[in-house]
Amino acid sequence: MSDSSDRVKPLKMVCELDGAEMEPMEASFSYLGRSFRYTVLRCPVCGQVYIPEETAAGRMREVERALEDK
Amino acid sequence: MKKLEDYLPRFEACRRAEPPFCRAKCPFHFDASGFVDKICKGADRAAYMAYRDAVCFPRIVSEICPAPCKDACPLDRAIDLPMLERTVTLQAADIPPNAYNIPSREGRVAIVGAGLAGLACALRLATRKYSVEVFEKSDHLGGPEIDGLGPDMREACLRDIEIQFSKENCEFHLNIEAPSTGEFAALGFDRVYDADGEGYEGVYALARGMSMAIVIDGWFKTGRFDEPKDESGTFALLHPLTTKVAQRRGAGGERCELPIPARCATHTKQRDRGRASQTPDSYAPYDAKDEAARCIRCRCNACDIFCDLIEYTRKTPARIREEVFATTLPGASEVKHLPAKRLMHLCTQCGACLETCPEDIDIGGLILAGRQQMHRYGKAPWAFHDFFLRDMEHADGDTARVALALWRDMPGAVPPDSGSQGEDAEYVSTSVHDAGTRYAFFPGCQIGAGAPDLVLNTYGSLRGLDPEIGMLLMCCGAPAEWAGDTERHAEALNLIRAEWGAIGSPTLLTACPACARELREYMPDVVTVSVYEWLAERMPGGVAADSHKRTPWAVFDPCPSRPGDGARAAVRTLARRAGLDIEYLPIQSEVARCCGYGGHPAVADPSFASIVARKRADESGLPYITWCFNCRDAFIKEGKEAKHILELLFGGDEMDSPLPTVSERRRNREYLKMAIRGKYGNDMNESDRRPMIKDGARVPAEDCDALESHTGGICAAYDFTLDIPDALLRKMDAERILEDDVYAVIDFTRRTGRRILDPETGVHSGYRKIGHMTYWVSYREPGGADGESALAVTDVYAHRMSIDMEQIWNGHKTREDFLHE
Repeated sequence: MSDSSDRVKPLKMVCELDGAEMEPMEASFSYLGRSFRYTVLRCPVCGQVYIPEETAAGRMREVERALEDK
Repeated sequence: MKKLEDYLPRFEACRRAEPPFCRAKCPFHFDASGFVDKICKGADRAAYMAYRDAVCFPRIVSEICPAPCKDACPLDRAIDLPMLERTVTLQAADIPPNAYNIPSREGRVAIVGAGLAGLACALRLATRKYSVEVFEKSDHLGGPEIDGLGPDMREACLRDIEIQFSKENCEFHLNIEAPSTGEFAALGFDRVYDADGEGYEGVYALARGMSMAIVIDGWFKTGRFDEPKDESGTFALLHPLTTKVAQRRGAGGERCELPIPARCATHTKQRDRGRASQTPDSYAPYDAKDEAARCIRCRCNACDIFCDLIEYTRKTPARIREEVFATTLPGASEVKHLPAKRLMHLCTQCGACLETCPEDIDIGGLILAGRQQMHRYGKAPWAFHDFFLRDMEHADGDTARVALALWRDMPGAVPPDSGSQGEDAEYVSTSVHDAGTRYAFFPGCQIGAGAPDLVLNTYGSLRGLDPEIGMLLMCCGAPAEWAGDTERHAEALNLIRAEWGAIGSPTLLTACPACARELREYMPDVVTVSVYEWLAERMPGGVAADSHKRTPWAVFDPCPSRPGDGARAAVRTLARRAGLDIEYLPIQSEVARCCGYGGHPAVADPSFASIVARKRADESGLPYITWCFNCRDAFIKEGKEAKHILELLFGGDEMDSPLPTVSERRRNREYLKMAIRGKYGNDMNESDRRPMIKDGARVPAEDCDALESHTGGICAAYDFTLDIPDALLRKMDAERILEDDVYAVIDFTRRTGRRILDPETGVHSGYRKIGHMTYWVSYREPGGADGESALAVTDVYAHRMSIDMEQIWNGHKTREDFLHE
């Protein structure tokens, strides 16, 4: 999960709460009692996360499946 | 309730490891399955070596064995094992015996008689490096069996003896009368085996000699004489239905065509060439393969045939037991493997395992207990059942649940103490306790979701037959049972009990066989009758549409039903009375299996659910009449023509429209409740009682506000409307994402400003965690200039992981907490 910054597309996304451009930063996720960190676009001010569908349907789904089997 | 441990002991009785019939009858208990496997793979030399190791003298045995295996073979045309054995033996003339480089053992054995028993015992002991001497009174080896053969064959057999002994040191004393036992002892022998004196003949003598070698070896090692184990019996049991399966598959009734997956391909392309070169006393290689491929590898196979889970996972019942047991042991998943975490959620709970297993091994029961245990430990992956539990919540919720009782003037009944109701008053009850209702229709939660008008029409027809009939429209609790969530299951049952009591504890007329099973099992005091039996008794005839009479149908009995279930006959009676031609569906009518819906495996493994549905659909080319709505939907999804029996009797044309999406199913339930209120809710206040069916059409969306609001529901009056493209609706349906959820996410992001803008496209994205799932929606705000008012949804997706940032928004943490983590 950690070495994944290259997977984040260089999108220009703007957090509407702060008007700040989102940057790739680590965020914390959890599923089935386990936590892990993953680099996604986040607002540098408030920390709001953006997860594009490619990430949700790709890497995240793989990890979800792995945890469901583990 | 049975615990997981209660299911385990039965698994000990599993007959799967019992030897096949041919092996039990074989004097050598030779593993013919492994032998034919090798031939199928073209590994004839390996097959020969396995045979040689089993019989000591392959050339001799392949000639003189009377082949009791052929009598034991259950195939009409038995597998010709002797021919296969001869074939590989003749091909392998150049293979020398194994030379075992092991040190010689202490222990001298004298063997009296160089017949087959003596030779076999001598060879086996010599191979184990004992010092062996054979005393034979005649001038040659082999004994009477070899003497009786023709000269060529005798030569070949003697050559076989020579070859098999070629790597061992064994001393033969010919033309000698055996010394007495005392003399042997004086000569320094530890054991004497009188091979001549045992009375066995032919290959049985040979096998006896081999057994005695094991006994003598055991004596040297342990000092005990243990009689050889009797392996001549078997408890293997081929399920009798296998022959019916064979006939159904059009194999000309030949019983070898069993539904056990062939482990090897037959070489049909080479077949003719093989035939041409066949020799009289052995097979050509390709014919040997064909013959070997006919073997069905007999074993107790009921679960192989009838359990979809076993077929799909290729796991034995014992393996499933081990995995479920290991998975449900208490302990952290960090330190142990949980092999059955997903597997446990594939079982369809059809009960075919228990029904067909000769030892009553209840795999489904074990798995359900396993799910319950995992749920108690909080280790069950919630995602597998979350959608279905939310669906149950909806069906049982205020917007969909209906308890409709009809008061009737029954002798001795106490009329409800409401002066406002006349003699014929009908009412929607949550407040009336009238003990008078005899019957109430219990359609279950799925028919109303799939075809609300069908519930209305059916109920109308039931009232035509008995004007006093009530209705209880809610979930039976099966989703909670299947999720292993015992608490929620109990809550669901309590709700049924409360509503059932509120409408006067009527006999429930069940339409869904799963509901019927739930009620029977968990609420035995509630009297249930299938609506089909009730109708068959009271409805003289029905008329099916002519378009449905053009073809014969097969009735697909749902898995909760079992032979003898009155509903089965009733459904067929109703269909025939309606003018439909019904044909027999062989296997399903004997052992009803699931359409893939039961047990809710569809999220844990969508392909499993689909494969199961496909298999059931393929059991007949005829369209199916189902009497479970889930079966109907499962088959339609697979492209198979299927109609629910109520649909054939009472359905309209709207039933031919595509299956509703997951969102439409909720709307349908809500519409159904409104329609029931509109039609039958005479005791309700005026505003609630307005007719909800306008000229037979569905209630238009603007009337939705008549619904009681429920959290996150579309009808909870959002201040915006959405435009969701069809392709996206289909995607949402496939991923089980509700329109309700999309509204809730957008509403949340708009109210809180928690959203992200793509400046290039002007698309806003935001998420909200609803229940366990996190839903993302991308949308455009209306432009305003061209008058559009709806928000255009551009994408919807979801993930199961939760974003821990959520804690900030829920007030559990502050932004500072997070940034300093």
